[in-house]
Amino acid sequence: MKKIIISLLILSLVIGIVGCKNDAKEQTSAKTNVVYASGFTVETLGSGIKKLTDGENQTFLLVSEGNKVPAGYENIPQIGVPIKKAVILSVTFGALMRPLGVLDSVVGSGTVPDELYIDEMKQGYDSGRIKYVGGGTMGAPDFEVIQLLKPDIVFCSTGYPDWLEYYNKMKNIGLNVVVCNDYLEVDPLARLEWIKFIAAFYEKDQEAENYFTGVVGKINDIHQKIMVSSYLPTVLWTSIFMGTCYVSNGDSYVAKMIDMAGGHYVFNDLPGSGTSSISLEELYARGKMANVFIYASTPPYINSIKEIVDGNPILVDLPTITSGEIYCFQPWYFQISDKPDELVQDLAYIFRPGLFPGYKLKHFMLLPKQ
Amino acid sequence: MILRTDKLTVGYGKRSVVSDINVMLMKGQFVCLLGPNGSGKTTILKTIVRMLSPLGGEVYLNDRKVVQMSNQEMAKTTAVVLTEPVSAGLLTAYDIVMLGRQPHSGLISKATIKDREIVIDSLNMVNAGNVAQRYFSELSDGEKQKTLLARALAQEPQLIVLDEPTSHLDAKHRIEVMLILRQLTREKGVTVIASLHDIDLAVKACDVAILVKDGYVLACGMPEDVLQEEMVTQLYGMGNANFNRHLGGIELKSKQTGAGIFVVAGAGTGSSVYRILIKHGYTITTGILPENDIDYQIAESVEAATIKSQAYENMSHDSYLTALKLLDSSRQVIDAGFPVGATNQPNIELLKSALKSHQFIHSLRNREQSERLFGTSSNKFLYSHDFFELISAVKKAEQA
Amino acid sequence: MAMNNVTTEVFLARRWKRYTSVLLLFSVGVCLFLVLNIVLGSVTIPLGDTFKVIFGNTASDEAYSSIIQDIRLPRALGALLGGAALAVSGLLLQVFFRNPIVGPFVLGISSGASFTVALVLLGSYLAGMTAVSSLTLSLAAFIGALLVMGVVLAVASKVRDIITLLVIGLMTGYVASAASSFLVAFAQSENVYRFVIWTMGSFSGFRWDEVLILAIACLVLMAFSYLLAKPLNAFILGEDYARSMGVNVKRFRYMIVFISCALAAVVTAFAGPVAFIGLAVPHFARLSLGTSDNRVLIPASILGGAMICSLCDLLARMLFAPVELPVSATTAIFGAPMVIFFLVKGKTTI
Repeated sequence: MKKIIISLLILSLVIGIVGCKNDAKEQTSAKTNVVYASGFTVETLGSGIKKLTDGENQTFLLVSEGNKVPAGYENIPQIGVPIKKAVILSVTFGALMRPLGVLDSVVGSGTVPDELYIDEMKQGYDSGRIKYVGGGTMGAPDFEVIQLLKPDIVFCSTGYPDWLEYYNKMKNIGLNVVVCNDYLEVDPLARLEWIKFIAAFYEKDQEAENYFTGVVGKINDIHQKIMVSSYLPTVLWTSIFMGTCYVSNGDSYVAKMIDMAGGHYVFNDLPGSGTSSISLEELYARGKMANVFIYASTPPYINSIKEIVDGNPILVDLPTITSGEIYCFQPWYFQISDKPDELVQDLAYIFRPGLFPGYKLKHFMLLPKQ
Repeated sequence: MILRTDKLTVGYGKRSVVSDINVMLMKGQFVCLLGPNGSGKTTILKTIVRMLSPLGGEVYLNDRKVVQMSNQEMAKTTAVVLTEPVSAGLLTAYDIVMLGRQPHSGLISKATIKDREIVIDSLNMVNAGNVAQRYFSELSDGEKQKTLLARALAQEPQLIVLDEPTSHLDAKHRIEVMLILRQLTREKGVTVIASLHDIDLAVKACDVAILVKDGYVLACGMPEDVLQEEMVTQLYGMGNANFNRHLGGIELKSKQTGAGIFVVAGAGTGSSVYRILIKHGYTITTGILPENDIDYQIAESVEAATIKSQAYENMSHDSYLTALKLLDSSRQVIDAGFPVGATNQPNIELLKSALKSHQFIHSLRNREQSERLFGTSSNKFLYSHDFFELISAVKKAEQA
Repeated sequence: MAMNNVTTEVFLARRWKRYTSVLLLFSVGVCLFLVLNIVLGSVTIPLGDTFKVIFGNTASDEAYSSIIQDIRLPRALGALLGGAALAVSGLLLQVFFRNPIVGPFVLGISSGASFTVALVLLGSYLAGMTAVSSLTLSLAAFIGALLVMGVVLAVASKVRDIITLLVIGLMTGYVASAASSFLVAFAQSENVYRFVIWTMGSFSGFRWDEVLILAIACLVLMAFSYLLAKPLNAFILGEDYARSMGVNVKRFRYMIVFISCALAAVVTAFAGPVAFIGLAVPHFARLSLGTSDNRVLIPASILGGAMICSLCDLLARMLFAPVELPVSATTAIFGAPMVIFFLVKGKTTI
């Protein structure tokens, strides 16, 4: 009799300990780890149920097929996952989808194929699966076309007041709209981290986590490499239009990228995270000190160094102009949100070519002299 | 001869307003253009100064076709004063008049001494010397018009064309402007042609009157010849008034609908009485008035029933009897207080008779004279000191 | 009360004194702001160096000479000439239309220029064109302005009433604006941003060749306009009186519209539409001088426009240095209260 009682006690103890451990495990894996981005949260409530807040602080319940909504959460809008048909109104979402391999779910896009540099999406247009719905650049998307597509989800952004209006309109007509504001993040890693947001809709959270960690790791590696060098290159990053010079401010995405790649940005004293227009003379004065000049545009908007000098003859004195080493973006520059590591790598090479012999630039190019 | 028109037809586009105008104006003549509103006076004037093209015929200035003259030539010979009010920014009257010197000076030349003198003279001539330094926009309408006239003068023109120059002006300035224009023609030999509405001033100041109505020039000649009563009435289509060329003015007609009043008057005493009674709508019978009496002129113009007698003759017995008969049919009688003399005793007899037959008989005469003339029966008169009392008494009597 | 030679002399002499004082004052203002525009900038250059560069010697830092000679000096002159041109353009149109609330762009000049610039900037990618140089843009703006001017001139002699001309100009402007909006709807956001900035006007990036063209155009056109000062005075009384004083009204219409549109067009080509200068400065000059006599008003507008525009550009550059404001922001801050003040005091007149 005594033995049975002791065994039962030990058994219940063991069960209790194991049970507690399991509970603890469930509690720590409840919230997805979002370190850099501030625009969204993802929380696992149970198996197959995730709670998500988007860029407009709207809460959704992502319900995996065949699962029940837990008690107390009936009022939150539900979206069945994984989603099969998506409309994306910004090309950056497509870039974030690329590493997840879910681009074949896209049935509607806000970017015309001629301006697309994401192969899977171009193929999607060619095969007729993807329809152009507008709303990518200026003006409203075609709400009727979107409705006809009957998407499971519409990804949009609300960075501008007009877009907020479109977002509300789409909600009004009964579409499942979620706001992905990756572009409002200032840190390049924060922008990439929205891949976790998108992944939640496809039940690819682990893939996203892995990918993200991988990119962070690569950037760290680059960092290690450049830490060796004590040389700090001064970087000029601007675009000029009719004598007015546009530069990003000190807390902007551009400034952060330059910093990550080990450069010193000449305008990092300007407050804020937006852009400013500054005088040509200021640009000239600081540009004279720069070792690196990156012209923030892409052909056909800028085609040669000669164009820069013709428009602003005084810049001919800049050392970077005389040496003829001015870089500009490749046309797909704005569609590689999933590859900040490659951007940083490119910049690291531009800043310290000696450290990366044989490296070929992926997303920047040298401007021809003529 | 300064201005001549030959079969001139004026109008707008295809629509002709006045046709077949043939007039000839001489140097130093003061010409007025008269006619009802919309008759085409402004159109004619604008065509003369080339603001409008003629629809037919020619205008000759100094024997040259006006359409062939250059802008400069035209500006040196002709100047205008228009009706529309002008806003002149921050220019002074002096500046405005100096503008008139432009046809005589080059593009960038400064004002010469001669220019200044002419400007000063022009301003003085129109009696606007005292406003020269003031801003044009601050002047009164009269002063503005005079300034614009001075500006026209400064152009040293041979012909000045004015479109209703006195329309916005008060009586004093109206007369002043007419006098200035006449002085211009007499002293400087300038020909003036102006469209006017004041017939009485036109008659007294102008040398030539051109009457325009219904698309034609009705008449062209001296005002004394041309402005007959019927002509004027026809010209303006006046139904309620008559123009009297002897008086040089207009009298409102009696409506002939009110109660009848017999007025015994003469030597001007009746004029105010007639006018007052007409204003209050009474029908007037009056007499006996000799044709050389001014009251006769007025009575005729107001279309009162008038018993007349021959000029410079004694009043006939027949006229007395006629007057007596008409006296009976009027309810009230008024003695206008006329002077009594050898030739108008019958009027006194009329009043004596009225005193016997009528209840309401008013008098503007002083009592003493009345008593002397009519004796004790003069007590029956209802005396009034002034016209206000008179009309009040008449009205009161009417009620009774 | 008769007027005589003596009182006239006194009166005229008094006026003349006022005119010369005002013109002198404006000239001083022009010189002052010109100097300040050379001396001040987002980069601090010691005064000594500035003077060295101006007088042809080398400064301590080579960058200083470049900045002063190639950036500040041409820009300062550009703002000066641009302001003068716009002021004269506005004055001519105000007198011509006998309307005090018109400016150089009332005939749709800036809308026309904006349209062609929009066409080039926003529409070029549709045609697959390559990047647009500032010369192309200046040319585009100028052509657009001239197109509108052409329409207005073609109509100028045919309409009986000047107000019709004004309405036609306004309507042309609206059509051009609508066309620009159309282009904006289809363009990429980056270019739209640039286009919007262009429409606010800026004197930055003025090059010496641009200054030269502007100077020659200004010299010729302003001299031409001064020759028209007397007929313009006659015009104050209205077309009918002007005609009676020998002014060839038809030819005059052409010339005035041409000169003012050309002045506005050439400034807009290089600096974009700069608001308010053309509207406010003539009033400012008129009230300072106390006259509407264009023989003295034109020079006063030239100097006044140069002075105020230089000041506005200085503020646009310096208020938030190194960040620059578009110059229309500062001209509006000056111009709008000025115009409101004039209106309220009932002192708007031609």
